Amino acid sequence: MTAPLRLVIVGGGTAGWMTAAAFASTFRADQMRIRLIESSEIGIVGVGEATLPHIRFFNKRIGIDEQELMARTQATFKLGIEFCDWGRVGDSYVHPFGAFGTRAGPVPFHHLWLRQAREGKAKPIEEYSLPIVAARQNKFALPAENKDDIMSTFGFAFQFDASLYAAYLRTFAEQRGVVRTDGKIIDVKLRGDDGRVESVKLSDGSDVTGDLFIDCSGFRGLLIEQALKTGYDPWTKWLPCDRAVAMPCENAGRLTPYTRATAREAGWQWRIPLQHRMGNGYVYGSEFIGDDEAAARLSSRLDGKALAEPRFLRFTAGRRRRTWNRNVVAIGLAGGFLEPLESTSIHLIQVAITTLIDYLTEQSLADGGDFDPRIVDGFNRWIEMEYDRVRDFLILHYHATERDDAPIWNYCRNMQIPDSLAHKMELFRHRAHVVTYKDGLFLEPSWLAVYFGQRVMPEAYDPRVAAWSDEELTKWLGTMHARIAEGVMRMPAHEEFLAQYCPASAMPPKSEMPTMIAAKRPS
Amino acid sequence: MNTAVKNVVIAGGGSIAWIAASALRRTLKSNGVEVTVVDSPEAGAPAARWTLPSQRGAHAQIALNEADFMRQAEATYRLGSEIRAWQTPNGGFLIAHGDIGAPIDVTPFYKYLLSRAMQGNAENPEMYSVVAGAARMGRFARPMGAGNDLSASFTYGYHLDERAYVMMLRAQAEKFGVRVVPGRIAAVDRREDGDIESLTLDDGQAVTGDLFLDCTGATGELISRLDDAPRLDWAHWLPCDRRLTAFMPPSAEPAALTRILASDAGWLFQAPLARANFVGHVYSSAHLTDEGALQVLLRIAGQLGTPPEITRFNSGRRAKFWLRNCIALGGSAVQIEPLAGADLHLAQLGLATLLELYPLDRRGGGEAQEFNRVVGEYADSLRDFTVAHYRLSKRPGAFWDTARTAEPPETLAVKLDLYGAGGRIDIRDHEVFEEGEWVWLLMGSGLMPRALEWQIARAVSGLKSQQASELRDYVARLVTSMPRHIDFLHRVRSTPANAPGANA
Ligand SMILES: Cc1cc2nc3c(=O)[nH]c(=O)nc-3n(C[C@H](O)[C@H](O)[C@H](O)COP(=O)(O)OP(=O)(O)OC[C@H]3O[C@@H](n4cnc5c(N)ncnc54)[C@H](O)[C@@H]3O)c2cc1C
Repeated sequence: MTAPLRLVIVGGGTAGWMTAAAFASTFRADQMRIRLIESSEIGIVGVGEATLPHIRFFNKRIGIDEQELMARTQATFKLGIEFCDWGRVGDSYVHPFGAFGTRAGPVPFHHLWLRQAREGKAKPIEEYSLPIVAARQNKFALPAENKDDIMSTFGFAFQFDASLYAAYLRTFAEQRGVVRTDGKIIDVKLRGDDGRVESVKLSDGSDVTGDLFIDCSGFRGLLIEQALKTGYDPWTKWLPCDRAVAMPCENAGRLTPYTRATAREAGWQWRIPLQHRMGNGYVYGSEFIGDDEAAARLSSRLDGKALAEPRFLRFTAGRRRRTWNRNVVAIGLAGGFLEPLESTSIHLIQVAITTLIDYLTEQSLADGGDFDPRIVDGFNRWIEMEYDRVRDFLILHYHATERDDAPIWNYCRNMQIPDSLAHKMELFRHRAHVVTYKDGLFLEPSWLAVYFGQRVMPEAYDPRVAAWSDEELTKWLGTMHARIAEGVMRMPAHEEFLAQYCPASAMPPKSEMPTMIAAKRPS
Repeated sequence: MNTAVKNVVIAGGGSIAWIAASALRRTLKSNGVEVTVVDSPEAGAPAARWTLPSQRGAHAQIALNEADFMRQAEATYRLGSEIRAWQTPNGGFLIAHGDIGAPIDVTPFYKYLLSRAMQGNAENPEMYSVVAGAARMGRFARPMGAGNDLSASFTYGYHLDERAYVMMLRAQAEKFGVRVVPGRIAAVDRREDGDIESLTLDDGQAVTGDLFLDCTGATGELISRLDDAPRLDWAHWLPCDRRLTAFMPPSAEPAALTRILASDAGWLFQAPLARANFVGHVYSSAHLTDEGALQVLLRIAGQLGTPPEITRFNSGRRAKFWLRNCIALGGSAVQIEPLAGADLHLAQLGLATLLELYPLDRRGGGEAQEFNRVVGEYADSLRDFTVAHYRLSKRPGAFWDTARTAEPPETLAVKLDLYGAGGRIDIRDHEVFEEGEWVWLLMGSGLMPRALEWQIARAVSGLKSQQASELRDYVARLVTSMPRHIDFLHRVRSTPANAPGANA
């Protein structure tokens, strides 16, 4: 019997507690001893509040009851993201969690739609997407299981209070044996022979040793960068926003089952509805606007009364050169940052955690963290691919614009984009072909939503569409449209569904809420 | 100027030329696309071949009935290959078109066998595989049963006579309205902008077109005139460059299996056809003379039924398959030894990619680049799969040492590394083989992971040896309930054309 692997998680933000929860629910105590160190003095970023449907796999995998999670984190449902003013001022489109129509034979639906649309015989493409139609009407219901049911054609994610989420996961992880230490790390000790991290020193003078360290210390990258000097590849030339200011406000009007991202004069503004409040923020480029002005603009554009002073954040878009270096794996903001436009950060945290767990072998657990370099390389390659694919998709939002009313948009419209993205856009413009891949986050519907939504209009469509007669196409599209409209009609209002499914007030915490983060109750 | 791409000219008269002609014509008929085949020989085409299961899909695409096909192409079924003497003189393993066992929840069954082997209880994966049992016992049935049942756990390809197959494919293409112009290509005429304008045949006739498919085989009659970029050469990984083939009388009871046997400078094969056996020797001319290669084949085969034919080839591919208005498909694009039997499969993947990206006009907009990227990845993955056979062999000798010790392509190194470290098989965006085929190859070659991923180890530890033995019994029962391959063949060959079930 070998000694359990000592896992030390540095940081107690979303990344730290997601990691702790996942490892604790996967490994037995005799295999792994999990310690999490966080500093209540430093605190957490606490702004990541909108998620992607993939988080549901994570929840299922580690055994989280979603209804309880939602009730405890003031959560709402999310069917997609509404993008306002991106292509042109006045435009609005939704990037949905679901497909547009259904393909006919080998030809994806949007080609059929394009032909009909050109002849004025089709409705706007968003009316062929159930989650968009539902979002526009503020409706929600859980998807159906039966694949033939139109109600099965969408997925959903959550919008939740990030601080409550971390607190929820903390309770979950502590119940499963994770030991938490509140303390500030002031030094990192490296092993002489191979430069691996041996221990971290806390301000009270104690040392915490470990075999595997997960760096979830946020932007500072305490272990991965400050101690191991791993290096960072900045992507600022494509993603020019480097600051954000956040300011929650009171809810006003209806609770939308979607996040909104509105393009602004120096970046964009997010709006994330929760049960008890609205999360807001302005993501901007410091080159294009000052902090005070950004905050002023934000506070003048809130739905309701501001609930807190503005909080400022700084970041650099990019990726750590190696997310796994020696015996340190960087997860969360310590591993890289892609701006929150498509709510990808929590997803990338999840990918890093599950990939790491999947790749860990019996041998590496048994040998006290003697990690096979082939596994380390495999892990790094995977994470790189995930980041790179998300990166191209984000750049598309900035680049595909006709706006010329502000320097940031002029810059982005004219900037040199990565070849891989230029190639994708060329094919779409030329013939509505979407370059797809097997692994990686955003699939065909996502690309379609942004292309169409931001006026990247194809000159032509797949010639195979010619095999359909006019009547056949009219019928195909008409049936689709009618089924979606009917389906949405039967869905309850989002608020109504929330009220019976996961009302925040109706479910008292099962164990006491940690005092570090006071839960705000709806006023 | 009208720049629509309406006239497709296909140069070459081998199977891929005809399959492409039918598929293009059938798919794009409504667009007014006309297809002309300049029926000229395909350089380096084999006299017979073994194919992957994707041939079934190809036949569906061009409305070819299976019973007709089996009869006319002298075909037999193929459940996989037996790879013998690559590790030990008498040992062999299968690469079969079907599953090993049934998944344990979501974990593939082979992981259970790996974990048993690591504990010193190695078992033959064939015991758990219906397709392997059938292949070994000379049985065959089409997959049946519903969903997850093991009776549906496999698929199949074919062994076929190329000449007969081509005749059949040609007739089919003509049915779809493909125009056929016999003749040899004397010249490739270019327009001012460098595109191909027409092909001049040896009788002086010019065949003009908007888009040209080069299916002329190894010589690449069209593409080689446009392409001055160096080929990507694979010879240092795949030193075989000769194929010596002949026909022999049929076996009394052929298994639905291609037999591959290592020789000192390459490998021998035997592929059963309905009324013959196709045999041959694929070898490296640097290690063996043609005469020597024949002697080796004769030692195994006894007597040949037809005079041996020798074909030269050079493993490698073009850097770009689609250049200007010319697309290379088949041997003009990629040449590789037929170990995996994937030549047609690869060409058909190229064809499928072309159908997705059929050019809207002469100018184009990224189609060629995308085609080259996607089909290039497919080609490289076939290279990797083939190279892996050699990389993992244990056979002694100068030829084998050369092939084994060559530093593998990076994509293959990565694959072997991940498997070697934790038993993981990652399949990337565009690969010709799935996890299933790789498992047969990696396990069969005896590559043992250093450890299993912990989650996987836990998942398989739940399986009791009692359950495993029940599974083995079930597999054995299924296999013995299947008809003999020879009987199945007789039945299919005597099915009247267009009878119900003839194209099941
Ligand atoms: C403006 C903005 C908006 C965002 N919106 C979204 C969104 O909508 N959706 C989404 O998925 N993601 C979003 N994100 C990203 C998301 O917020 C983060 O991915 C997520 O919060 C994870 O943060 P983290 O845990 O890595 O870091 P942090 O929250 O910064 O946590 C760092 C932890 O490390 C600890 N620590 C640091 N130094 C020390 C030390 N010396 N000693 C001890 N402990 C230490 C801290 O105490 C803290 O616990 C957004 C990010 C920003 C900046």
